[in-house]
Amino acid sequence: MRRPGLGAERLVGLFLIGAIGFSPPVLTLFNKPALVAGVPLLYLYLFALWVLLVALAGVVVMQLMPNGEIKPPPPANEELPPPAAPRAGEPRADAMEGPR
Amino acid sequence: MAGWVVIFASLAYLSLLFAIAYYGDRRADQGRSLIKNPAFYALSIAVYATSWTFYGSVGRAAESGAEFLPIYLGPTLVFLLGWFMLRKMIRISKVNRITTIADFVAARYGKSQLLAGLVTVIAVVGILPYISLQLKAVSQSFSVLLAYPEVTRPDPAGTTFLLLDEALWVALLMAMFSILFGTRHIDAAEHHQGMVAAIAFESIVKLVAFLAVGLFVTFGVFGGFADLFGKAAANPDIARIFAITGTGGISSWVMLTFLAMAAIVCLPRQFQVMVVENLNERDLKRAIWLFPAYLIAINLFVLPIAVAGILHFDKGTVAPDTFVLSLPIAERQPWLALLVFLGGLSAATGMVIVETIALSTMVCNDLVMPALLRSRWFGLAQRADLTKALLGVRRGSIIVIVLLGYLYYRLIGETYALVTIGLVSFVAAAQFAPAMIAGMFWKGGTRAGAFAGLVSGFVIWTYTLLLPSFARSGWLPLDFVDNGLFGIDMLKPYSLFGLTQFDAIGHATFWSLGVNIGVYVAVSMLTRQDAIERIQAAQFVDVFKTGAAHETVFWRGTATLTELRDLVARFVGQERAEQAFRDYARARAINLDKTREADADLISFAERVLAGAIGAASARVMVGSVAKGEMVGIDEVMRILDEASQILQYSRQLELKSQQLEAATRDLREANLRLQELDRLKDDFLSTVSHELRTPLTSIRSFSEILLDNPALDRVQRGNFIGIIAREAERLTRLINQLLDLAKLEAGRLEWQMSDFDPGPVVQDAVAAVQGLIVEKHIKLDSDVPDGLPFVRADKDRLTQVVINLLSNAVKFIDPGQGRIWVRARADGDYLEVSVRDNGPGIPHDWQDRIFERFMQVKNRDDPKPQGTGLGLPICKQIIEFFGGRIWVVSRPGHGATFNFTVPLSRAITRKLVAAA
Repeated sequence: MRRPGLGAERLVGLFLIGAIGFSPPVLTLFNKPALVAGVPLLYLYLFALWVLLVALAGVVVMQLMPNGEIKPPPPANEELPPPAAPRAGEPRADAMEGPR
Repeated sequence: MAGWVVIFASLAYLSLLFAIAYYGDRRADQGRSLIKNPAFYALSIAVYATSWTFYGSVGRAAESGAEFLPIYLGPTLVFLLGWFMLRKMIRISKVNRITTIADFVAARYGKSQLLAGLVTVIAVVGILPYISLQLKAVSQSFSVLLAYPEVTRPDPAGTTFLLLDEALWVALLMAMFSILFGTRHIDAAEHHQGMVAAIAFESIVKLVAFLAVGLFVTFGVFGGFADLFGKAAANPDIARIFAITGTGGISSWVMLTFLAMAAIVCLPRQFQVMVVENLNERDLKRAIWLFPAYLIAINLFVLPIAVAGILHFDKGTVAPDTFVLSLPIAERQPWLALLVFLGGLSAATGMVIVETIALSTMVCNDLVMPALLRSRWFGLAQRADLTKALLGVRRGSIIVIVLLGYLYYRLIGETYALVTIGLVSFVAAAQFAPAMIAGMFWKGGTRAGAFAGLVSGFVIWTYTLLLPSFARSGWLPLDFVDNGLFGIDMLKPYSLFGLTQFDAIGHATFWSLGVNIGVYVAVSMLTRQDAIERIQAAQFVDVFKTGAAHETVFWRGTATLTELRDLVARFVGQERAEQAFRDYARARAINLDKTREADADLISFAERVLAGAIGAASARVMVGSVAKGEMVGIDEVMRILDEASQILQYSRQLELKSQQLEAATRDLREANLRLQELDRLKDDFLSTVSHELRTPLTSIRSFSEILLDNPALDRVQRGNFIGIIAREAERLTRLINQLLDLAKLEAGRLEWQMSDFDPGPVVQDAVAAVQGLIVEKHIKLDSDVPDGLPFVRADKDRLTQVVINLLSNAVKFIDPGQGRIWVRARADGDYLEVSVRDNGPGIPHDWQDRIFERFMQVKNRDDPKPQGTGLGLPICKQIIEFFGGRIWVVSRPGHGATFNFTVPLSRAITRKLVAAA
């Protein structure tokens, strides 16, 4: 059984990633007036992280049910494989025979 | 550009807006909602992006680089938490019929009229600058566009003759829109679907306009991002804005993010579109990613436009706030310029419309109505229909608010850039955050705490932001800004108590919110809640646990039904009141015609209906005036709450139990299936064994009978028969021995004679033992067993038994004549590895694990009779695992099979023992 509230927890996880990613200590790493691929480094980082967060949020939210759980996977096939039905035409058995 | 073109375009656009809103309302009346799609909800939340975003972000970026971004990163973060926070807010508001922020705060803290009034005052005073900002933006863009093809600075605010000032006319048009589509009827819990449709449309227009100008500037005027930024990088003065550099720099960044996080929840218009206008909680799911995605899109080209503006215009000739418009004008693109103007107009109108509707509801419910109801000439004695009065008050307050905004713009507007004005309002709105958000998650917050926190935060906001802005516009002496109040250095409004780390906004945010939170928590802890506060606190915090079943507010008194119905009818109108009571009766299957006394349930229902129209605080006072008796006492409340929570706990335990039961049932079902399979295998095995036993027995019996009946048989024949009898008896013994072996092995009763020995000769002996069989079937056997293998620790005889079994298995299944068997032994690490390979038919993949289970035999289609007892490999497995090794098979059907097993070497076992000791 799935843990209740997992989907909402994933969103909180994303929030934490965002809160850290947009925090000054991390920003100072990128806060240089340099161009990377023709775009200022700081902006490249901010927008990339931003897009990533929103995209992941979209993925999580699509699976969210009203009570905050993740949708269960499609029901597994309830039937067990037919018990020990040996396939015909495949002659191999084991046995223990002493030396003659 | 001719004035009439701009005016005509604006009017045409506004008419379109009116048409959309009208159509949306009509569809809603017909019950075919236009805005059912959750995208409408997300787009209406985008009313967050006002003309401040549209024009001001570029201005901010041109001055201090990335500092415009926290205003949009904050809401993104809040929406990631939306499923926790916003959903709870929506649920609370729906259950309690809350329609404004003032109502929300008041309802949480015991339906306090005082608190509702305070929140309303703060909201109106705080938001006025924001409304004036929109007017300023519209008027600025208008005058810039009129000058086409010249690129000019906008006229300073307030210099135009009043009646010729387009900002005034735009303001009045917006007020008209709000009145038409925001105050059609009185039950504010009903949604303004036409208004939402129009707002969503405006969100699209402003995004399209902004993207259009961004694309044009980046790819039309310049050769793409790299070209644009490359040119800017050459000039260190411009490259400066590639990093965070503004006053306060990176520490202001944090404050701005916090501020925006609070604002997205606490701005009256955001509350209106996110909570009040929400049709369905599920719509929030789409908004959680779509609204932030919208914010990304509208911010993508802010920096490119800012950089292009700086590159394009000489310093100081064009205000950065108008770059968005000036660039298309400078490039001689009249239609693009017009589109931009309309985009800015839609951003401004959207904001003003929603904001004034939200504010007017607050002013009406929480300031004007309480005062009117208290005054004698308007008193309760009269039975007059008050719906007209309510609507009149709301319409009047819309006009007053818009005009106040205009006044602020005329008086102050010129002193500040767009963004700064907006941020002043943000800080004011953020003051609601502690009381609102803590109120949703912490039951301990008290009315006194909320009140004290709000007042202190508001006072600090006034002192650090509002009054200085008056002073800088010349309406107050500047002296207290420069030298501090009474000349005290510590009281300088921009560096209170010597705090200079932030810019003005960050500074005000820090002090006002910090003190607000501190006072709220401290006073809450020092004061006690009364009964209704506790009820409301529990209802808010536990809204998901208690839900609708717990809506009942605890009125102990009774009222006559007529009184109650008349009361509701006075505020929501006769027809709607009748309808509401009819619905109530139908939902509970009671006949109200026969009822005279309204019970507690009906009284609280009436209170909720009233709350939707006039706010929770006023509704309580009104219902209290007709319901005789009092609210229940605190002890009773606690008892009721306790009972409710106990029942809740029971039901949760029950739920858990039933889940466990389900799991247990599932396990049992699986076990049962497994048992059935084993049972079947046992049956098969028994029949196999009895068959195996019977075959030799039969031949023994028949040959002995022949011998008995024919004493005259010749010697040779007799010898033959006796030989057969002996062989069959031997086979019988072997079979029984195996059965006993396995039984002993499994019961752990076998005696083991463990010793250290050289495995090489053991394997050779086993090979020699089956030599007769091999020769008989013309099989070629390659043995690769080197001399001097390291010693193993095992039982010699059992190990021989395993090798013999594997070899005889191989012999049994390969074709006589072409068969080949390879035997190989190697020391590998801590183990001896022995493998027996054949070129027989192989073993199907799904059988490779199972053949080591007891009684498992792969059957042959042509020969359904099993070829062995199904015990050999299980016995091998038991033996090898007892030694501490493992046994497995590798096989590709059609390409033979390789059985491998390992046995631990003596030296490895000794080493382990030493290490353990």
